[in-house]
Amino acid sequence: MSAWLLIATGFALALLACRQASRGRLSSGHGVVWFAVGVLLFLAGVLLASGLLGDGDAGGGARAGDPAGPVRALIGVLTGACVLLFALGFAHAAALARIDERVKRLAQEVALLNAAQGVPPAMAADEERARDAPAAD
Amino acid sequence: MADQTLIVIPAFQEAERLGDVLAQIRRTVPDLPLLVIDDGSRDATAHIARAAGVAVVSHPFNLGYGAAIQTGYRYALRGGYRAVIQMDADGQHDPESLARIRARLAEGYDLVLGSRFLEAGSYRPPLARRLGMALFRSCAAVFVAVPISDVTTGYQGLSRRLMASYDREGAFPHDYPDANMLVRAARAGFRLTEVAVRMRSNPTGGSLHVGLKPLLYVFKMLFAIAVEGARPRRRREP
Repeated sequence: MSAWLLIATGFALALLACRQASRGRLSSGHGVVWFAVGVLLFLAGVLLASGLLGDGDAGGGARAGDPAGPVRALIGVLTGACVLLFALGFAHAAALARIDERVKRLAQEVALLNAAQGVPPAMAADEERARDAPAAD
Repeated sequence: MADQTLIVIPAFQEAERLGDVLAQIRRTVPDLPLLVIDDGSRDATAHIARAAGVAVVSHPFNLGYGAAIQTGYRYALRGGYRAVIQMDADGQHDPESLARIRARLAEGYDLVLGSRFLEAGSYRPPLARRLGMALFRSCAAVFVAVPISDVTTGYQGLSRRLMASYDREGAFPHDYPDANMLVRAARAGFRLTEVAVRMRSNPTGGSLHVGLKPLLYVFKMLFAIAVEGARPRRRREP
């Protein structure tokens, strides 16, 4: 089960990374990283399923009387936790990318507005500092 | 101001060379207005540009090369400019080639790319970079019908409608808008062409791509080209 979970998650992550990047919801930098993570998970799943990383489907669960059962169950739980972490990480990266995009857009608009009003950047920064400074008694 | 071409120069920490670059451009094309996008420099870049009598837009902090030229496009769109020619602030782009780009824009092309490979005597990048460029060229050729020899050139001219399309569509890369944007423009049906330009090597030997960045850049650009190719095709507005 672990192998198939990794394969499915890897495939979904790689696909989602492409989709979100193509819609501009993820930068190409983040996109390429999450695409690589997805591919790696997918390959790990394939290797696990093929038995190259050990005992075939390691997450088969604890079977009664099977001495390796608890180990398999532990591997299954750890795999699930990793998959959950990757999914949360992806969602977090996508949210950060959206915020980053908005901050940059805002910074560009501030710069264009300052230029249109003829405010030199140093003066704009001074005004900002003066506004932020505590009033003197 | 309207119906003119604007020269956009994104600059980050270029105080040392910017004065000479602006003077050269002024000498070559005295009739074209210039705009320097100071991308959050901590040196005198903005001051030097302003002292040279050039319009300056200063980002409050460093946003990246792509964001700087995007700010330039927005400035041009709001100012009613007909086209933009973008040049680097480090003096690599020879202003003598401006006239060729300008002429092609006047012929109605939407994207005029300045190629360093079409004419002898221009600067040739190191072998590793040329190999990378060849790889991007092959990938971009899948989506772009016109043969393009220099897909990573920063010396290019854009029509107003192409800039408007980029602005409308969003998702403009803030780091390196290179071959991926070429693919986007071609798939949207914009007219592309290439002209020979002269490029010099960077006087300081510096580049945007240093350290491990080139490796990440190659992966990012290949990914970005694939993503652009997979995007739903949006035709340009007439």
